[in-house]
Amino acid sequence: MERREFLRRVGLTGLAVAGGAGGAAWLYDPRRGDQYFRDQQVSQAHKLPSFRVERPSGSVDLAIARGSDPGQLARAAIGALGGMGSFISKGDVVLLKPNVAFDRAPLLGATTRPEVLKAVAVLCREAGARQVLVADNPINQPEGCFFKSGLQQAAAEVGAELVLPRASAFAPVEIGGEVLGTWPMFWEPLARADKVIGIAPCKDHNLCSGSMSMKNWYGLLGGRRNQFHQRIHGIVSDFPHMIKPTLVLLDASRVLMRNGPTGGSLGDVAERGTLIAGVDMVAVDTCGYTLLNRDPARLEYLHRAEARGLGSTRWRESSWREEQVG
Amino acid sequence: MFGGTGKRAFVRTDIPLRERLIGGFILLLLVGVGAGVFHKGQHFDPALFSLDPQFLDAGQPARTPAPLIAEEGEDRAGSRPAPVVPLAGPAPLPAAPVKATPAGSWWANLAPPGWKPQGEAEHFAPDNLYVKINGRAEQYLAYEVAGLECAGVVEDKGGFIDIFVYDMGTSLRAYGIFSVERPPEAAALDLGREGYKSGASFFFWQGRHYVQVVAGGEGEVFEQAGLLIARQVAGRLEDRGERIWGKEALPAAGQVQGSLQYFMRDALSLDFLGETFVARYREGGRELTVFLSRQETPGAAAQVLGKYLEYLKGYGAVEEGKDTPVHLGDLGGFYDAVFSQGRYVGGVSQAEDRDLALGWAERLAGQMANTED
Repeated sequence: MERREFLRRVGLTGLAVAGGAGGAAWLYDPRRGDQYFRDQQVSQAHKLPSFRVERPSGSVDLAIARGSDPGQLARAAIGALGGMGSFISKGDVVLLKPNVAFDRAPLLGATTRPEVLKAVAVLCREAGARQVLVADNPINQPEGCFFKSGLQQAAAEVGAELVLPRASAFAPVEIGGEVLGTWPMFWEPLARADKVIGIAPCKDHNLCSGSMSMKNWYGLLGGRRNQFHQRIHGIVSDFPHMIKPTLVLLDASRVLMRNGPTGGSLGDVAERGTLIAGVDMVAVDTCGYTLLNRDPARLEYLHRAEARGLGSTRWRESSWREEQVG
Repeated sequence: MFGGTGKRAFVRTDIPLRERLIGGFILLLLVGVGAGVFHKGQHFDPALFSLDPQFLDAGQPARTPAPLIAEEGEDRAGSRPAPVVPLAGPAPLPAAPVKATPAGSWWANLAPPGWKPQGEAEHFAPDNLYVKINGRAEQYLAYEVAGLECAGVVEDKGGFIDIFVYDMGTSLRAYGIFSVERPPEAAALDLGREGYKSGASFFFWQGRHYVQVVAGGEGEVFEQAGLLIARQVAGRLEDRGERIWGKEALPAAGQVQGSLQYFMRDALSLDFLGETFVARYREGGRELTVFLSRQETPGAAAQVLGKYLEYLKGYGAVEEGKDTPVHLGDLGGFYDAVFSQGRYVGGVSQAEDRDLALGWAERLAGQMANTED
């Protein structure tokens, strides 16, 4: 081989090696693979807007309705807060978030009562809502849960659109909580909504003692959310940070007193004839927890949330009203 | 490029078209694989990477301290915080648990006249039990549940009945989970072992199984169908007639019906108290909680007693037993009286009456001293 040819080939080989090494260095990322994907998720994450509305000073912040008809209780409680018109504007798309976690019949107290969902949906329509969406993300067979809980039929009867949790409906959302950083959520209905109303049953919970309006938002999480059970009070206290709903209702007309959150026996259910509505989830749950015959002073997630300025357990010091129905 | 001897190696100049095409295809394939990896990296499943592993190391949930005073109207034993079983690591995604129904299983031909099966039976193992009973699964895992099988029947009008058969592995565990879920006022029924009815739903344990027949409505139609199903299931599940030791060891006289419960761990919300039966007793218009724990060896029982006394000293004063094996803890107006006898640790928890607590604990200690076990 000639010297010139030899040098040419050596040069080309060197260029190829240097190019490869340079390309590898350019592509090299010192992060671990899982960290890379988490960072990607953060960079792509949505941010949840606040769904709260400005309310005139002196407005009632928490309303307690007592009576036997759950639909009337919802109407009375929202009426005491100033009526649905004070929350919903003409043309709004309203997302109703019931608790549809299990394929249980409504009489067992594990899911939101259809009568309450229907009453709230009708009130939204009367207030001028353009569309009412109903959404939740049960882990086990959403169709079965919506069907057996009676909420599918309830939504259909009032012309609300049921949004089922298809895989494409989830997207990462930046939460920035103590436990929840960025996490996949059932994003589609939230993205479509102008206003969001939580409608939760009041029930015992095996791990966090009470599942009420704050815990209800757990149902919008995607991913392997069962792992959060190891830090249940931290995650529940993240929810009032995660989402600022327009309004929440805590349906304690029929309370699952034990063996929650699934229940299964009518012997676990007590008729309480009460519904609480408000804009401060911590306050609503503090009030509601007493209906489980338990002391809110001992419910850790309430105090965690209050310490973070996400609500107040001293609801009696706020503007509240009690209504008797029937 | 160069031969091993320093001579120029043979260089092919005539490369067939076929070989060129194959080479080109392989190059394109490599580019495609690279593009695929890049695309997948940009469109990953967020569920796989959302959880920071540090999260699982960040601490277990704080254990709720044992309440010294029951809330008004609170069913103390039933409402104590359930033991939390730490998860070993990331659980599998909720994969479809449904399998084909093998012939001859308990759910075959279960539908009463006018009803029909609703889909196929579902099967859940401990690691995906949360898919069916998210939030409740930990309670069953604390009793080392082996699996859950669910089936359902529906009627033409849309009514439904769901059947849950939990395989708890042993009859003691089946009794345990049954006993902690049983409502205090449950209406007893001749069904399986200790069956009861609640609304139109039926519950019983049998052999190593805990069975729930949960009606989706109320009324005679549901009751009749539910009972028929429950009896059929009871007839198909094995029962070897195992005896539950705590039922025999704790006195029957004065025991509040339906109050006997078995805790595999964390009885009385005490993390050192496992393998324990707890029951409520009524005497002279007063009620108290009696417990009895069986340990592997007398040494282990003595250790548990030691921990119990430490716990009592942390919350109040302890009076050591002199002529009696019973130690009395005064928790500011509530009394715990505890003893160990052989493999057993027992006593009375949080009684309002000092003498009543002492009397019951001494009687139980005497009874256990005469036990051969």
